[in-house]
Amino acid sequence: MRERSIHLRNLQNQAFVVCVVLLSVLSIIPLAFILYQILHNGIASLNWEFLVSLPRPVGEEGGGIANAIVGTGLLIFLASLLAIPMGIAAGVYFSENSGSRLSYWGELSVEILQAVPSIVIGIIAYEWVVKPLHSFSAFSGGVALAIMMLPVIARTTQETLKLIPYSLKEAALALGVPYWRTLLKVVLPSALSGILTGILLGIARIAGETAPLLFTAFGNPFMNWNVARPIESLPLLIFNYATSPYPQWHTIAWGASLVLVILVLGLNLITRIVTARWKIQF
Amino acid sequence: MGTSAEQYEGGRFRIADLPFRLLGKLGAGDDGAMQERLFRLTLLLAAIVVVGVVAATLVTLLIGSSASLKAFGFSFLTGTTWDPVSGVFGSLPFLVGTLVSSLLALLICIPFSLAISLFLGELFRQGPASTILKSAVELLAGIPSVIYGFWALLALVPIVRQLQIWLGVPPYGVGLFTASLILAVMIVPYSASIGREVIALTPAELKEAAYSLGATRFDVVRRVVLPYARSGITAGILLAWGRALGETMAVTMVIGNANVLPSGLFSPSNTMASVIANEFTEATGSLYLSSLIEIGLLLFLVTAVVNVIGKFFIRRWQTT
Amino acid sequence: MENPVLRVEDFSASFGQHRILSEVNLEIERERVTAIMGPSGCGKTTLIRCINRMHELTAGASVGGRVYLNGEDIYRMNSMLLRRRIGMVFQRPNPFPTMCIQDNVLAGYQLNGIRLNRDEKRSIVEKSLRRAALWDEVKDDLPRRGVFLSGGQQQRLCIARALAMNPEIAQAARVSDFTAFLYLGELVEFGPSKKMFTTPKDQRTEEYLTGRFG
Repeated sequence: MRERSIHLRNLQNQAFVVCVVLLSVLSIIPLAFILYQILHNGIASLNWEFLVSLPRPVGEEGGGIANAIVGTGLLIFLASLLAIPMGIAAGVYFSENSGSRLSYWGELSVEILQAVPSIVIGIIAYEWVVKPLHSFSAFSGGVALAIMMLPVIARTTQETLKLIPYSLKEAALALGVPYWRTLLKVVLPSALSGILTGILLGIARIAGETAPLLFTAFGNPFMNWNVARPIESLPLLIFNYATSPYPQWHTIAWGASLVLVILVLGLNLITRIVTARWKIQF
Repeated sequence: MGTSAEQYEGGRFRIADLPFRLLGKLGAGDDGAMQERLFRLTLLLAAIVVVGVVAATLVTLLIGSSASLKAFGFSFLTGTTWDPVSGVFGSLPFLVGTLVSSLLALLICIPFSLAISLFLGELFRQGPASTILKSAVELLAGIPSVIYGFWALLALVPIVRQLQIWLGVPPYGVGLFTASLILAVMIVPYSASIGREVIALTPAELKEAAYSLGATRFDVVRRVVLPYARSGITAGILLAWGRALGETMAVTMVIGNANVLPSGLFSPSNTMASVIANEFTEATGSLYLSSLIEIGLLLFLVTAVVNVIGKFFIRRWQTT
Repeated sequence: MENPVLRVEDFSASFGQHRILSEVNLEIERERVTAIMGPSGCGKTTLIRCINRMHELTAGASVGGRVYLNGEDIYRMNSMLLRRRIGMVFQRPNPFPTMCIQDNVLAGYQLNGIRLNRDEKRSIVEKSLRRAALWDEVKDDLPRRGVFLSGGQQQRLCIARALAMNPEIAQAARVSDFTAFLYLGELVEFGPSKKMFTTPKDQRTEEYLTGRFG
């Protein structure tokens, strides 16, 4: 009786381990599939021509995604311009005034902002920018992406500053250095790797976003450098081409997917390197 | 220029090793009171902007949806007709579509994410296998939603269509079930990474105590690890659910975009997020637009609440 | 005492309701090393933190009474300018991790936005490091970051950083329930013998003992 029970328990234990391993392996199969298909289909359409030329109408061979690459770059630039200084400043405020009422509401706001579905942020940017200006524009897309980036940067800045020992700030203050110089020249440089990580994570988050751009940046088949006019972006182009019925456009969408995946995963990789390399020891 | 003699400076005695000009600067240098005030003001403004963005979002959504709120009131939530032509808007089909697709996705996701959490947090904490799995999960989290949608459209939809033919239901391919599948793939990394963290932090003493009593690994996981990590795992699932509720692009591409109450697991449907994505730019008439914004308002409130509750569970886990 | 460098009159300090120093009176002689002793938690560190006005940076902190530096009431001075005149070395070494050794010594100037020419830099760095008895150990590593230094070396780097400002008073707080006020002229003499900082012999410190608080 006793022997059997031990035997049973061992069997049960082995079944459990096998189950865990099996389910874990199963769950990364989609990833393998996705990466394989993007690589397989994407490389076929990827060449220099593809990167530097504009899309062509249906039926014409060739054509590229230059407008979308420029657009994505411009949108990321606009969003960074708005979100990075604001996010860092807010993060510094929350960590310097932790416990204050504004910080409490600020931290709650950051949490909520991180959770807001991106499509809702699209509505907000539409109401705030597109409607008053009566036009879809790259700027409105930048605003939408900046709202998505803001909480990421504020959060990581705050978390990084929390880890910086108070003695460091004290050392500067004791030398008669004013508070603002202490923060700018001693505290923030020590937090550089953390803040940079936040910025890169923020960019990685917005680089692949489509939903907030649907009714802000809107998309544009032509090359555009003007922030007041609609602009194409890689995710938007993928969405439009992927849902089209033309196999030729699907090929372009695969190529664009490859470029986007390289961009986003590359950013994630750089983030890891930065975190590991630039770490300041205290 | 420098002098190393003893000096009296303004009645103060100093052993001056410093050049005069530096002594003067150190003693009378400007304290930057102006910059100080400007700097503090900048920080304060940024903090106010962050709070302001959330507050203004709520206000904007409320104002934007006021027309629809006035016209339909509570029946907006219970109405099953979404008819832009006759101007009647009820959002129940989308609420049901969102709830069913996200809960189904969660159901599919839980065993997988729990397995990954246990794999990384308990069974194989180090070694090449865990490094590969961990990187793979992080990669999964990094892939943009639109690419998931594209892949689902070309790879998942045909598979589901085969399944539907085999089951003898109308072979749409797209629909609630397909959307749930791709959603599940997308949210696994969220709950898995939180689950891994809490499981890995189960105190070794607790586990050792159990092992010393003759427990197997399975017993330890079931009786020690999972109870200990329970609120953390709950938080991971809640946060993943929050993601699933608001996920837009992948769902929009494979759910079939039908504005009626779903009649079955495979039927084409729409979620709150996907109907906004599909119809916002085409919305003619202020009531139509206002109704879409009201859906956005509901989505905002629901995800905010789910997330705050999720974070509450994380904090509870951290304090125990 | 004639013309003390520092005079403390009826000085009190508290955190919220909790009073740490009450009615302290003392004078610190010019050009002398003065040690303040007492059991841990008696308020030695708080006293020296009050003297360069670091105490008030903590939330809920308050002070009463007067402190005069060369006859000037320090609580009527600009706190930033005062701190430049009183060097402070903390219990635990806290060099700036982002700066190289040379910049650490010059931190008081560079962070305050005072530009130095090359000669000034070299002379200040060398003099300060010599006084802190660190020059010989680091003179070849000035452009390197200080992370490789030992704890004791880091602490001497912090002393050099304080001395570089040519302070009227240098204060150092040490663990091992021993706090010293050091007048900078004397530190040259005592600097190399780390004994004084870390293992004070009773007889010797007794001479410098001026008061007990608690």
